[in-house]
Amino acid sequence: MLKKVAAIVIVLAVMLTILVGCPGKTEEPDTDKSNQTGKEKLVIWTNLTAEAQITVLTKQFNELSSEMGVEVEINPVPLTDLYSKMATAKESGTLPDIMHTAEASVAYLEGQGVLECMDDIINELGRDDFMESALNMNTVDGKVWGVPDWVMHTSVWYRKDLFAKYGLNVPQNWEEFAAVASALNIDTNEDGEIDIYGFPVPMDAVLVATQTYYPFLYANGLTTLDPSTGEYVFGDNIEEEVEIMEYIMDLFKASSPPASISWTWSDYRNALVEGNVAMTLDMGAVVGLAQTNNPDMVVNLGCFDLPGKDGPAKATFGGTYNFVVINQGGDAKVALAKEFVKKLYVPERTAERALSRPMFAFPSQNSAFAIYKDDVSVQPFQTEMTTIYNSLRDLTWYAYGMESGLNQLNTSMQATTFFGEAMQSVALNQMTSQEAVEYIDQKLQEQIQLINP
Amino acid sequence: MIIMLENKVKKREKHLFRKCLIGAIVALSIGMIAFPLYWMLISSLKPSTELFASPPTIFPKSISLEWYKKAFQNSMVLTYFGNSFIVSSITTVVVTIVATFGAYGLTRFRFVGRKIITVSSLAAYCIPPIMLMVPLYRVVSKLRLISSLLGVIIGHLALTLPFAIWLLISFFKSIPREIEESALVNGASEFTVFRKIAIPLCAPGILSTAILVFILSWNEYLLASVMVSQDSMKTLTVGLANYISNVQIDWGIVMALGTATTIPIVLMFSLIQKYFVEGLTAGAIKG
Amino acid sequence: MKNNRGICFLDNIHTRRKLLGMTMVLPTVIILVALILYPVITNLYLSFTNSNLLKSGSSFIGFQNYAKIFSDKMFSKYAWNTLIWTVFSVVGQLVVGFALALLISRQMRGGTFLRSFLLIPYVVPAVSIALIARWILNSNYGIVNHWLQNMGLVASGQSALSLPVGAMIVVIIFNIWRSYPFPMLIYWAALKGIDKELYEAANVDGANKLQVFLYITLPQLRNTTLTLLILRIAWTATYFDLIWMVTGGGPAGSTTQLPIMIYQNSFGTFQIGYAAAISVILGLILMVFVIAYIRRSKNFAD
Repeated sequence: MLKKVAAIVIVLAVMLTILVGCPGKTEEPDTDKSNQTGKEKLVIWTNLTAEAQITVLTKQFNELSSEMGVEVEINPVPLTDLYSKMATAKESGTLPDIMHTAEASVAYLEGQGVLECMDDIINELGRDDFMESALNMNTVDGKVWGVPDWVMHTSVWYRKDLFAKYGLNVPQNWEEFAAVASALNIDTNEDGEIDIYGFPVPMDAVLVATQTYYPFLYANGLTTLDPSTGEYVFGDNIEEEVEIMEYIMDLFKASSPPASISWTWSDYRNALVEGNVAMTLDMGAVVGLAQTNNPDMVVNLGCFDLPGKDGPAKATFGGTYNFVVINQGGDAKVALAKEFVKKLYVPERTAERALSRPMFAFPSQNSAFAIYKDDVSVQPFQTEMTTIYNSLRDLTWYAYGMESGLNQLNTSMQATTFFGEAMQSVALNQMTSQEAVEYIDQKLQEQIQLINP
Repeated sequence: MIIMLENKVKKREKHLFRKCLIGAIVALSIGMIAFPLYWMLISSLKPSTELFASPPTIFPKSISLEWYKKAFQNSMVLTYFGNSFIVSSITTVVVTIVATFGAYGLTRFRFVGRKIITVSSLAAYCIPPIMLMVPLYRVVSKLRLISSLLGVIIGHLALTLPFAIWLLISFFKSIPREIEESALVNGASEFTVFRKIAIPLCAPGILSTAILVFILSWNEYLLASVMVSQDSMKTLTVGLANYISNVQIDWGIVMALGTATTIPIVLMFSLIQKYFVEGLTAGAIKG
Repeated sequence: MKNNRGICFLDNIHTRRKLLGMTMVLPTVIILVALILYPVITNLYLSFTNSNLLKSGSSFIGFQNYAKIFSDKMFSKYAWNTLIWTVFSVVGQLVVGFALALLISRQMRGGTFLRSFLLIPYVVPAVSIALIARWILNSNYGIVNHWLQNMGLVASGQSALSLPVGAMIVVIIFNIWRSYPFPMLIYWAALKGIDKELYEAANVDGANKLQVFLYITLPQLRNTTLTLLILRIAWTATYFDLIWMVTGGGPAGSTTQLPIMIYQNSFGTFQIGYAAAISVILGLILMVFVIAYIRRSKNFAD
């Protein structure tokens, strides 16, 4: 027996050596490396785990790394475990030097007091060159904490070919929208079952459900916080919010695949691109997906703003990606990190980053947009691009919880699952719309209590 | 005579029926186990047109390696694999040694606090790992191990040690003490008895414990996901779980990576499972 | 060892043995204290504070978190889910494990191969299982979902993972799928360990096969079953990874069990004080089982 044990131990040891030896990079002790080479090291986190994005980011970071003579370490942190990562890292002071992330993390980190004010960089780069709305989202008390990289905008993406085939027009109000959605429930093989659904209502509890609910709220001019005073107003409009919830649930029952209760971003995007749904709310990522997975579909895609109940949308839903610098590593490190971030904002670079997700990401620098719009990947969408870009610039779009500027409420709403749970419960008839909205209201107030005790 | 013959026929029929039944059960269980794995494998080999076909094809019409090319083009899978291997191996070695000493000490010697330690090692087994997460992270970051694999290893020590101790206690209990006692009477020192008699007698049990610890550590996700942030330090489960974050699930790539991570561990285990079975069945766990 | 002769000499040996025993146990104790006891105490402390991850600084609030647990409607729902998940997973894997143990304990051709094959799910990483589960149940392209639709069990455009009961069934089935090999092996060993003479005696007494099974085989496996039960209950009730990666606790919280509730309260609503209180409650409930087990287990008797 002992011999056998010994044999196995040896086999394991050999395999271990091979494995350690093979990839080479597995066990580089990197803690002391900066001292050995004399180079400063910047640690960068990004939430972008999609291949195309991480490739472009890595390329740019490496360019700058050799240009500035610093070492960079790039760590993708997926959105799904971002908050546990940030919270634990903050607790122990192991946050990165630079982070490329959505406004929710900017708000979180700003609330923790670990961010470096970015006003100087914005001014050096030219404040006017940045989209004002994107700057607002990074602003608390007149100070900018994150440099906006790109902005995203939710529209209804739809199949132009199906609209043409069934003689449908872009809907102008909710009645028309519901009618178009049901008209697009199509049984292509005539087996009595719907093969293409009109409009999916994705409600996955992590990140997705909130993004489904808010475009409808904004379209009717409702917000969580008052855009000018920052006061909590969600609780004042329960009646309308219930009505909106009911409208969404009617859409769910009439024209959405029942499985969409647990659909995530990739589910509804795949569904549109592979031809299983005719319209969907999305931040334009369907375009990039179609380009890689189903190129024939690209020409069929178009978008319009989700209308309000009785007419055009009063506001729309969007989001940003930003670069922030964390002030934990000492003055020299912070200065270096800021310099690094600043160098990322050459129009060509900003455009290139946004173009890694065409029509999903729009550069927040006007100078970069000029380059962006001529790129071949967004070429077919000139009209859509103008509509989106104009509504982005019009200052009538919000991210939930941030209607009045950078706010940790957004972080809570982003990290939490109670929106999804409430909406799924209504869809499954476990709650009424009234109960669901009241539950959301109660949970939101709880979070506000945490933020401002 | 005729009755006897009839009985024989009946018996044979019964025998045949039973054979068929057992055959069916065997086939069913093999199918249940093989199907999900088979499906992962062929999904990773289907080109995108076929992957998203509805209804799905059970036998792929064409086979392509495009997803594997994409998956390995830019990904860190090999690094993740190496990390998992290092973490699991070190955890296994440390836990096995510590637990062997510990379990032997607890079963063969009497001293103050022995009972408490025994009981609390089992009690430790039912503490939700999630409860350990934040405090353990603090410990690890205080030790400045957050950007090394040692952090994950420490987490896995906490997770696997109680179970290993508990298993080994029952292994040592199942070995009769008489042999050791007679050796002691003959003048051997306690440590020699431990080294030369107890360990060899218990070797199959120790080996199975080691394999169990390895598997637990290899599959663990929660602690491994929190303990490191560097991409180059992620374990396989964490690295792969990142690919199913709901931002973008690229099913073909994900299936290719899933297959690539499952096959090595299954092969490795197949090679050593004989010893695992031998050890676990050597007479432990009788309650 | 208790001997009255030569007290002085024995005392010496006793002291030495005591010291040796303590030294051998020392590393275990250090690890248990540093990596388990310390975190548990930290958690216990946190559970009496209003700590949250949005604002630093916290204050002592006594039993408020615990009071909140019992007024939280969601807690009872999730505790119920935990019960369902644990009971069905554990019973399922014990039953499947036992049935397959009976199968592989028969003499047959290819038996060794079958046994090895049946062990495979034990090493398939949970993350791979989660990928497979989500893929084969995808509402549009999932093969199993397609079959379920054809059988009329799931509506067109629906997925088993989007139905509250369906999602729970799916995670339980996959949990059984990956965890039955351990009970199977243990039962197999126990079956082999049953004294052959018992069977012979029963045959002499003219018992039929069913009677032998009911009155000899099963009682002999009682201790094994109890041990497996306690081990698997503790493991399953605190198990987070699989559900998290397959359903994330949804739909509508129907697969959220307490570990996921703890996670969501820690990193979803950032109330780690409250989350700590829930984990203390969960730990205490499991402790009851363990104590009941310890009191009757041979392992802890002298």
